[in-house]
Amino acid sequence: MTAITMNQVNKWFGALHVLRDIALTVNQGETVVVCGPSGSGKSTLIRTLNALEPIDQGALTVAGIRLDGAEARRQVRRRVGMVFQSFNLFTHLRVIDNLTLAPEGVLGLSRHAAEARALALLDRVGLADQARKFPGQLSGGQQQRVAITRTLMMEPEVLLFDEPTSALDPEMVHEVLHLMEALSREGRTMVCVTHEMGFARNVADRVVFMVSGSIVEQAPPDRFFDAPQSDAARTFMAQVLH
Amino acid sequence: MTDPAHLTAPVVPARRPPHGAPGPLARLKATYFPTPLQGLLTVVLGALLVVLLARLADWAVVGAVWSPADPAACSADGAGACWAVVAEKHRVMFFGAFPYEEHWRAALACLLIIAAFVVSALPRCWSPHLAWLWIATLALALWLMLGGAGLAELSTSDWGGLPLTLLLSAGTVSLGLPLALVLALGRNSTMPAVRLICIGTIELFRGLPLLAVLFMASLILPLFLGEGVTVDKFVRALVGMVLFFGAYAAEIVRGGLQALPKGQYEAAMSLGLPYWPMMITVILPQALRIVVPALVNDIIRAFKNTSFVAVIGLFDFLGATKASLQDPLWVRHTLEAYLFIMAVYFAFCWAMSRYALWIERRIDTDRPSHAP
Ligand SMILES: Nc1ncnc2c1ncn2[C@@H]1O[C@H](COP(=O)(O)OP(=O)(O)OP(=O)(O)O)[C@@H](O)[C@H]1O
Ligand SMILES: [Mg+2]
Repeated sequence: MTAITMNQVNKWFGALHVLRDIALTVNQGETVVVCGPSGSGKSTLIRTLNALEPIDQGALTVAGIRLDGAEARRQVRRRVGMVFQSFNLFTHLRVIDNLTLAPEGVLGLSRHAAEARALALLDRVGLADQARKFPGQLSGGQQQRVAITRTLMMEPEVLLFDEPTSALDPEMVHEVLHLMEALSREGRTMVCVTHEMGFARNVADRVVFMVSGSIVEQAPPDRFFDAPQSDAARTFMAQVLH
Repeated sequence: MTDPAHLTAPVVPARRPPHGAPGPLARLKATYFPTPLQGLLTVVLGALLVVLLARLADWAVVGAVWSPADPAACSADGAGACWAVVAEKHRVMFFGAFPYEEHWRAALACLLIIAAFVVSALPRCWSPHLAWLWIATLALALWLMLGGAGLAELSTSDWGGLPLTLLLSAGTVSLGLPLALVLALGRNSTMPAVRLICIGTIELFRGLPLLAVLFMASLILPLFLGEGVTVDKFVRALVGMVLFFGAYAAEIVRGGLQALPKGQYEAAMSLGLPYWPMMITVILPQALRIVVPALVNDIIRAFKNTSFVAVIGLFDFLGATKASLQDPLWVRHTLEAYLFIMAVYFAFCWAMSRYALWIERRIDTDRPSHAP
């Protein structure tokens, strides 16, 4: 079963051709890491998958829904969770209310059911004692784990991550990667933009490498890291791995 | 995951700063007598201040006439401030032409409105439910001021003084803020027609002086509504004030919407929240919090602006005071009466501006840092 199909997707920002003939299929349960140099269009690509960015050409099917029109966008967004580099927790709401807001408002869960689900998930990510705090009172790593939990609350079919560890202090990176790895192991469909090459190698089923809006290579991590096909990939790896 | 203890335990114990905190005397000296010249300045200005204050006290307290029993006492040689005029006229100043026996109703309405403002000012009460508080408050205040259902009936032409000022302010703010929200959201709308109407309204009323808006409301409103329909003067004034306040507040709200990081919108959208739930539960609570101090400033201005309604023939607090001083017995002591109502205006405005400062600091410290 495929979770995501991108077919000849093109997108422009004004005259800038940011996504060029993108063809990508992600199977259910697969973890795909997207990497590439800065400005290559990784964020733009992942943001098209929940319609935060509209596409100009091509076809996009996510979680079985062909993304066109407002209704499809609504359906896709409730099935796809997104984790941002800057966490984007709702700063005026306590952790618990960050988690229950959408399940109550979008899925129609009762307050009671939503809180029960929230507490169970918080317990799982080791933050049960933080439920009543405000996001600003948590460390970066804790905030990002809450943000991941917030997307899990919607029981999404696909999880998107856009550089989830880039805003974190080094000592907090591992707690977030650890959680992402656990999610991958339980068979979730994940697309992750990340510079964490260790994560890509150990956790990803496939690595997608982008340059200037195009997918240049996609391969299982062993092959991508040990036998890259393109010069661009070799140069890129030399830069990120030193 | 808290830091392991060995990463936070001090290696070098904390010490006091080398120069202990200066005592109160040392601080006084540093402030007022840092150099001989500045010390001299302090002495001279201090002496001047003492003389002026003594004179003021002499006029305002020592020689003042307090009892209105004998208006002639105020005109006696060497008499100081004539506060008797306030004692004599305070009912008319505060309540205008409102029937004397019903003053308690107007006073109660004032207290209700002030209480509603105080409750709305408390951060812990901030929620959409405040709308209900204001609907209830205004309904009660209107019932008290207009009568019916057991109370003697009155009309808006009986209104005057402080209740009129407060009712106008409360009406302006409680109708103007929702208008401001609509205008601010509309200005960002993707629908061109909506955006155009909102921009037009905002720019029109920001581009006119309040006096012009009030005249416009009193001249144009009847035109629109057709001949024969007379619009209550109070309503005309209120419409003008609401539009004027709403246009300014809309721009403040828009500033708050823009100050919010884009990530807040994106997170809400990616959770599947539709536009209105996103606005009501995520965006507006945060955007409004940021602009509360600026909004309070505008509310202070709206409160003071109520005195402009004199030009269309309403007797607000200032207007009622002016009218009450027509009395030939007291006409020579208008200064004291004006000083008194200035003090009342000042008390209201000062309280609000202290509040604005306090809330600004509080929001700043409250505001959880946004991640990079
Ligand atoms: N909203 C926008 N409007 C115009 N140009 C944009 C916009 N967003 C991104 N771009 C441009 O599109 C290109 C691709 O951006 P994108 O953010 O997708 O890159 P990226 O691969 O995620 O880079 P990074 O590693 O720096 O995050 C860049 O040149 C960027 O400047
Ligand atoms: Mg990016």
